[in-house]
Amino acid sequence: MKKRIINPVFILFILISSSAFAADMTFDSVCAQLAQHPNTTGSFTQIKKISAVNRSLKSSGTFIFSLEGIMWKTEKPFPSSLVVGMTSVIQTTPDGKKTVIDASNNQIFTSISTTLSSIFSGNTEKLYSSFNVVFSSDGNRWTAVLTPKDKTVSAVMKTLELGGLSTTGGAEFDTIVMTESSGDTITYAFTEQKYPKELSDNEKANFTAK
Amino acid sequence: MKKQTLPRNRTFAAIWLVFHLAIILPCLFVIVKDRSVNFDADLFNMLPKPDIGKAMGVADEKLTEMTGENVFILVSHDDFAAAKSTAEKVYAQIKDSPRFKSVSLYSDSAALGQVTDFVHEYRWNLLDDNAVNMLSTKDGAQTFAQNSLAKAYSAFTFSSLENLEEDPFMLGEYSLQKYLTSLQNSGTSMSPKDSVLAANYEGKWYVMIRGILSKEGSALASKSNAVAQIYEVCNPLEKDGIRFVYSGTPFHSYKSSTSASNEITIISTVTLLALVILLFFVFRSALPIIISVGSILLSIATSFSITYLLFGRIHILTLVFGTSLIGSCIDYSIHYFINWKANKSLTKGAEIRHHLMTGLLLSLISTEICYLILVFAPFGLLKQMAVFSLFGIFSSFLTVVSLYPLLPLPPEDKRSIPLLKNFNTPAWYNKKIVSRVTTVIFFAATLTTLGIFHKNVKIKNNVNELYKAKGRVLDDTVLAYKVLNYNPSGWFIIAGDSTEDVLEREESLCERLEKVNEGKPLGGYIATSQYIPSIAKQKKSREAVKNLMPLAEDQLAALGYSSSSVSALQSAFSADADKYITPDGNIPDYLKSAITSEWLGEIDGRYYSIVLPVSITNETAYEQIADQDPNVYFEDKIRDIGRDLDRLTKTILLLFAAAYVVIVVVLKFFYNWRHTLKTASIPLLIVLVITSIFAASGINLEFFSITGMILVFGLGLDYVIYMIENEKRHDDSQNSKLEPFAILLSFLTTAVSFGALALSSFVPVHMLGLSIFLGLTTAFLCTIL
Repeated sequence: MKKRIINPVFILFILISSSAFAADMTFDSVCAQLAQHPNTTGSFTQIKKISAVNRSLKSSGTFIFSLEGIMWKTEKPFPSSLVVGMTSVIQTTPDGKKTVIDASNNQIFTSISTTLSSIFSGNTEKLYSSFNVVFSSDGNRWTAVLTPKDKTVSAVMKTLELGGLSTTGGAEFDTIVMTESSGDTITYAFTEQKYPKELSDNEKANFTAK
Repeated sequence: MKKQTLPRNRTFAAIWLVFHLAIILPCLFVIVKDRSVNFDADLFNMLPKPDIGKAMGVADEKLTEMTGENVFILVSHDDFAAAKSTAEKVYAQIKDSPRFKSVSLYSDSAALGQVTDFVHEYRWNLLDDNAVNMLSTKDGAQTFAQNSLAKAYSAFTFSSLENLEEDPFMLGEYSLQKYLTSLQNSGTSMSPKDSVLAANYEGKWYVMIRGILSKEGSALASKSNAVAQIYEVCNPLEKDGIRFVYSGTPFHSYKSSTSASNEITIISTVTLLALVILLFFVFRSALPIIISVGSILLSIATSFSITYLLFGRIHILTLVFGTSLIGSCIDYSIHYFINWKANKSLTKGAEIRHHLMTGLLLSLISTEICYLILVFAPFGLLKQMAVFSLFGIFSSFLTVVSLYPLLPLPPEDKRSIPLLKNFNTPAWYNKKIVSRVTTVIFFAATLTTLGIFHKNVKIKNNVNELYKAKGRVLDDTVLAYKVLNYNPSGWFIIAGDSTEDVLEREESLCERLEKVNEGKPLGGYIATSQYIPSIAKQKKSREAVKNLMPLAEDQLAALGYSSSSVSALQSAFSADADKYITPDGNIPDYLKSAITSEWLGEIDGRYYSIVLPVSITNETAYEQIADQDPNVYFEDKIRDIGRDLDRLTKTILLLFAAAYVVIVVVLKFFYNWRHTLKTASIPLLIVLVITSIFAASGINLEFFSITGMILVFGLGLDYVIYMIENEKRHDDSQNSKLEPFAILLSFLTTAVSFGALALSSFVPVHMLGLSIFLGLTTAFLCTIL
């Protein structure tokens, strides 16, 4: 329930990680690359696999990761959006109604902001304190499996697997697989990533709870 | 004479023995049987209970008792792991302690799963008014269905999607989100982190341990007190950056009871010591001192026993106040021993008794009338104090008139008080003139002062000023409030003839409360009906869901299910037609604990619940909400106690007037008009002096100072009674100096004991002591001059 609120944070984490690349790839070097791009935008495809009933729900849309938070805008098959800010979570339904959940006093959201600042400052020490990280590479492909140390988080999310390709210009980030403790998975595939230095006013407005 | 005296002495002694044994032995029996003494130091218990009717009062008391047993221990450190590890150490040491009903540290993730299952099971019944309104139209139902699909395909849902086939409209998800929002808005700032509840405030981590004290652990001034155990466990761990923050009424009660115990010890010791020195200086013999102290101890034992037997426990403040008995009780001893030591015209103990009897009896009657009247005050603590004093003084009187005459008189050559030789009135002194001038000056000065400061004469009680936390307790209270962001200080009590009746009233109240608090921070509340709606509301929810059923086929198809799932869905809906949740039903432990303080259940044949706002954002609006329903009462503890104390103060003033009339009537039986008027003028002067000094000092007349005023009535009248008795004897010998001297000694001893109370750090005791001290001084000066 509440624990699910953390998912977008990890997604953000992954997206930011998409810019990471180095010849001697390590998790630290990937994280170091993250600090270079304060904003990332692009498209995503999401597949939710419900293991108990062996079904999948597929959707797609666009995303924004920034210092302001994360925006997840689902366009197909049904439009909706989710914004995880530093102090609130805003959900918008197809009829345009916004539900704002105050997160200012919520420990999970506070930990999200801490994680965000760790990523953007390249502070892997703090990330290591929250996750056990197994990093591997095979040719151009790299994978980082993050296992939360926090039992409250791990009771919902078993692992978070990030994957991407390495290129000479940096790292190309393309997948996230989040495995829940129930066995359900959510897989994200990212395309068309861009790294604008600043977000437009419209994009920024998404992060304001009005 | 001897033949007559002996049987009379025996009769007195027998009465004395029976009286004391009848009181002390049963109390000893109760204490030995229970193997503990039930002290009460609850701060709220020293204040009047709200005037809200018996049943509501029981509900209020139950709630106050429950909240009064809660303790929060916040373990803080810069590093979360260090804070958590220390919290685990504390938890391990206290979790099995019999001093706690329960101790919790860990936040059970599985518990949230129970809530998910619960909202799924009752998904048809849990829709709120917004959803019900939305589903009342075809378009609204369509929008609701679309929103559900969007949610299922969105990046985030609160609950698992494995129930989509049984719940394609995500009704469970809708209710779960509402539940979680309610839980978040109504609780503290703590949230789950690594299996515990934690918060980060100004860069420090705070891990919360919550405890509920058991009956044994709540016992104050006792070695088994839970707070004492918390300090024992936590204090050694408070090092290397670890800081404990303690929050909850029991910490304040513990601190106040400890302070009170220390004060009792100090005040009693100092008072007794001062009295012993004074008496030794006067009598130059240990016997009167030993006997007087013995009499005081016996009085205290008697007072304690009767109070304990009648009330089942004794408030620590009664004991603090009880120290004043020392001063009152010793008056009788002083009058006896002054005559025993120096009145050579009296050759036997029985003669001394006879000589003093009228004065002592009138003094006893006037004092006892005042205490007796306080017994009728609608306030438990005051009743305790009154009973304590009533019996203590009677015990002392009985000891003086029953046992003291059995003491042999000192040898003839030793029957003198050397100090008395220096106790001479100057030749120019004319008692009649000085007395009248003094009285006129007192009246003139006090009336002038009152004329100048009449605007300051106010009967106003402010509970916040009665108890002020200090030092660490205060620091912790402030910090805990900032960290927890939680300060409920008032609540609604809802009554009804049935569970359903209460829930329906609650829902109506909550609706109005939400309107008042819309968009306000700390505008949340906890109410049973947030989680367990009334059956009427559940039926409305079911009715609304019916409007979704025609959309089920399309909905299921959009989620990838075949049309065969539609009939299963409709069957499930029909099968649950008579399935409703009730507060006494099978609800998850997690929710049960969330509403444990709110659902009071059946009390005396009616049902009660509490709606607890996180804070009082608008007191007037809250009161108006409650005023709309006679079965709803809004209680703001601090405001209500202040208001009740104001009312009680006025009642006491009326009792005071009644006591005055009764005493004057009684005195008229014994005295002529001149003496009666002289006596009657003393209480008036006492009131004027206390009121004018308080007004000039800008101090409100409040409950405890008024109580002091009524108590000083009895005590202050004693002096003038003894003096009149002395005057009536028309004795011009040296013996005529004995009574004024005894009055001086009485005043000094009583002033010492009440003056000591005025030094108490407890505002109530301080005000009481100050009021009595001022009154006594007035009475003494008006009598002796």
